[in-house]
Amino acid sequence: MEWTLLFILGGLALYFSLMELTHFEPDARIKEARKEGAYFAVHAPNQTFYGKSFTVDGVIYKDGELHVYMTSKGLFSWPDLPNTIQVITDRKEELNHSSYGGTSTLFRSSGRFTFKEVPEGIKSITVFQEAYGQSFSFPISLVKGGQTNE
Amino acid sequence: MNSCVKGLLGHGVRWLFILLSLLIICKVLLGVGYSSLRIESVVQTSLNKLEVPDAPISMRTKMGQGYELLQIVDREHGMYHQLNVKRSFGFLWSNQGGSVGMPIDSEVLLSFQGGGAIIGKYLHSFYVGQLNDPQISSLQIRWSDGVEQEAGIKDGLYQVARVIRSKKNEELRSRDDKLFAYDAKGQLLYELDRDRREIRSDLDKNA
Repeated sequence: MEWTLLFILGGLALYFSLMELTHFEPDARIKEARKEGAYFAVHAPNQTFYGKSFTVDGVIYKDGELHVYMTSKGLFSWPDLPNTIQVITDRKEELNHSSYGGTSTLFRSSGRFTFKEVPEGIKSITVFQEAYGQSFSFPISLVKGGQTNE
Repeated sequence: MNSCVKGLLGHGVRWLFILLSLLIICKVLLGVGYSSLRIESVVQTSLNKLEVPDAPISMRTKMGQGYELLQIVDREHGMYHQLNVKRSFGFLWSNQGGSVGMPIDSEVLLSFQGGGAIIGKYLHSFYVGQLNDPQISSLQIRWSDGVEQEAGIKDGLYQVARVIRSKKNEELRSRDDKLFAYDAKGQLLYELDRDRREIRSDLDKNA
C-alpha cells in the first residue's frame, strides 16, 4: 500500500519536477555579455512587493540596450515577478521599458525586462516600482571593477 | 527493538515522500495559491497579482454555473474592482478574471461601465457603476435580448451580472444594453447606454 502510493505519486511528482527542469537553461545572451564584460551581476536579497518575492540577478548594458534579469523562487507559493519595472539612471533619466520575456515554472519564475534607446556612460541605475504605497528598489552599479552589487 | 525503530523510520520516510509528492501534484493540478477554500484569500492573491492593495468584498452577485461576481471596494485609495470567481466541487474558489482600478469619482451621479469574458460556451457579462444621486432608489438593466435585471446597490456603487450561452455575434448584440434609474415612485430619472456612459454633477444634470 505504502510502496504503491510512493511509486505512483512519487513518480508523478518526479515527472512534473523533471518537466520543470527542462525549462532551466541559461540565457545565451548572459554568457556572451559576460565575455564582453557587459554583464553586471547583482547579489541582492529578495524584496517583497504585493506578496511577490524576487531579486535582480544581473544586468546587461551594451549597444544602447539594457536588460534586467530577475527571478522569483518559491516551493509553497507561486513564484511571481512584478508586472512591470521602472529604471532610473544616476543622472535621473527614466528609461523607456520596451519588452518583457520570461519563463515560469512551478518553483521558479525568471524574466528579462528590456529597455531600448539607453544613453551611454550610465554609472548606476535603480530598478524600482511603486504602487499604492508598496514599493521595491534595487540600486545597481554599472561600473566595471567598481563596487560589487551586494 | 532496533529493527522496530528502523521499520518506523522507514514508514516515516516513505510517508514524507508521499506527502511531498502529493504537494507537488496538488500544486500542478489545483494551482494552490490561486485557488483557495476561502474566497477572501482568492481576492487577496488576485489583487496581489495585479499589484493593487487588498480590500474588502462589498457585494457578491451570483451569476449561475457556480460563478459569482465580487465587488471589492477600496475606499482608502478611492477605487473599486470586479472579480469573477468560480466555486468548484462546492468548496474550492478560483479567480476567473475581472477588472481592477476603477476610480470612485464623487462628481459622478450615475455611471454605466461594463465588462465581460467568454468562458467556455458562455458569455459572462457585467455592468457596474457609481450612483451618487439620493433620489435614485432602484436601477434596472435591460439586456439586448430583453431580459431585465435589478442591480444590487451598496454604498454608492452597483453591479449586475449574468451568464449567457454565447452564440455568434453575441458581442454585437450587447450594444443595446441599457440602464434605467428610477426614483422611489417608479419615475424614470436617468437612462444610460453604451454611447452615454455617465452623468456628472459638474457638467450635466439633465438626463
